[in-house]
Amino acid sequence: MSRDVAAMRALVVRAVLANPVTLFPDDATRARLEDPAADCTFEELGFDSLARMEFCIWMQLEAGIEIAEAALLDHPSVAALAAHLAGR
Amino acid sequence: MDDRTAPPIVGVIEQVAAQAPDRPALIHEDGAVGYGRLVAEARGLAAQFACAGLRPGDAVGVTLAEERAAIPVSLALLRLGCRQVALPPRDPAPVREDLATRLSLVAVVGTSPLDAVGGAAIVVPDLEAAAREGEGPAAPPSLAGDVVVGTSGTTGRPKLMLADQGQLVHQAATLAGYGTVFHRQVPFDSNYGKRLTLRSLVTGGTEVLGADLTPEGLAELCARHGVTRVHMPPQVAEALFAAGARIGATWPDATRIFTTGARIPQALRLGLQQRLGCGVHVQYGATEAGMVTIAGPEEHAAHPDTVGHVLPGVEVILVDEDGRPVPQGEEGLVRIRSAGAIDRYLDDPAATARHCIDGWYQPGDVGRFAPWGALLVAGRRDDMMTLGTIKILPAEIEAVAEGFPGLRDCAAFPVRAPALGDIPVLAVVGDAGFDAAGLLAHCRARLGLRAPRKVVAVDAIPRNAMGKVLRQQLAEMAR
Repeated sequence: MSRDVAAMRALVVRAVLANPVTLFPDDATRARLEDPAADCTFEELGFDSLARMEFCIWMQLEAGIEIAEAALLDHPSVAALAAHLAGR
Repeated sequence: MDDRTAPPIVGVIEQVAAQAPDRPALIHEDGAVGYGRLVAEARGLAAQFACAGLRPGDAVGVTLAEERAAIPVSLALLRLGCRQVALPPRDPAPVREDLATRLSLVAVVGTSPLDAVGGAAIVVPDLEAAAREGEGPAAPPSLAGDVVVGTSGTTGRPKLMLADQGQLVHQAATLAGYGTVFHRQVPFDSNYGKRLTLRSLVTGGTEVLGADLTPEGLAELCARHGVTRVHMPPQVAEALFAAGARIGATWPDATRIFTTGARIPQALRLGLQQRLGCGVHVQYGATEAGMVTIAGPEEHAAHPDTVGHVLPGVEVILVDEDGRPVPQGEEGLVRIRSAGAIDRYLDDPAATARHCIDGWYQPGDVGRFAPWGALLVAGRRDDMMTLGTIKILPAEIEAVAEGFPGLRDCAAFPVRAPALGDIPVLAVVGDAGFDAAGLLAHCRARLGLRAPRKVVAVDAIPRNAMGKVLRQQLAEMAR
């Protein structure tokens, strides 16, 4: 289970970094993103409604994971969303 | 010309023959067929068919590989007042069987008993005997003969309709205005090909026959016979473009190219004109509506995506989803009214209700009028993708992608996601080492939220015989 969460977290981070409408995160945020023990909220990452849509599109096309924008509001950080997706 | 009171097609051709019997109607590899000879063949064949028991109003299939024979056979059936339908030998027997049953064919004109599908009788034409027998006087030709045509659909089985004689040769004079010695790389047993031939014959034109030619062969044929107008599907235009460096010097400047499709890539159009030194004209229309516009080099110079001005005798309006006219300059659904348009499909009330509305034909295209009056067609309503609230047409994505380095062909299609809507994806055929990420960024910079979100490489874009992209098949390939 925890390995699944870790893999899902890595996938969520890839989706965040591939997002075409958000700014590339600064070094400190990037370090936190890549540290499996750290967390980062979508608000900190500059996610708005459009960014959430692009995130969901990437997950659908690149990972085949169906996810609605609301999931990013209900699970508003990288770790929380990864745990949610791994557990569903 | 008011097509409702127009004389029968065969009557018009017989008038040409009476005035100029030796004028070549058809040129084929063994020589020329004058109007006099062609009319005699059609009369003789009509007599043969009557002897075989065919009567006015009978539905008759035609399965003939030789166009030299298929053309007088078609005229003979029109003359007799029969309803004809092409059953091309290249179509599998079950497809022909299905059509024969659907149309209750009483006979098939063919060369082998195997052509008699669906329990129809076989009638074998004898062209040489017909030419001898048809020299004498004959009964006046019928106006009742018509042709069953089918759409080259991209989904499901073809929709069928009846084209009467006025519809078959609608806008004949318009085409003749672009040149009277013509050639087509479209088979006679297709609706488009048959209409081109009939239009040429009623205007006293000369058709040069020849199928499946190489680009070199086509250039040589056009030069040898002084062809002024050559019609081809987009795929043949692409093959000519690819061969342009080799054949550019031999392509006659006076041989204009005509192709079809709401949008032919600008790079292809301009490249062809540059390499071959001739004008490229794009026709916009539909099997159901006949020709609606023709855009040539001048129209395209004004706007690369225009389909041109609406032809005289044809009306186009743009309406919203409720059928109300949209304000000038805004996008709407194209509606066409023309003597060349059908008012119903055969045995398909659902399609009739969807496309034939209040005397208009509505193909499902989305377009707008430019300030100078030309029509711009953005794409098909059915192809429109809805991502959230964003409306995206494949054609706008393809227009931005075309010309990207290493890109040979592309087509946009949706990946459906229940929570999001249609995610636009671009299928590409690219050279080795194609820069897919670069193309994505290029599209993003120009299209923003209407950009494709992924580029998938494919070996070839699936298309139907008329070059229309089979988007459903693409979506299945990408799955």
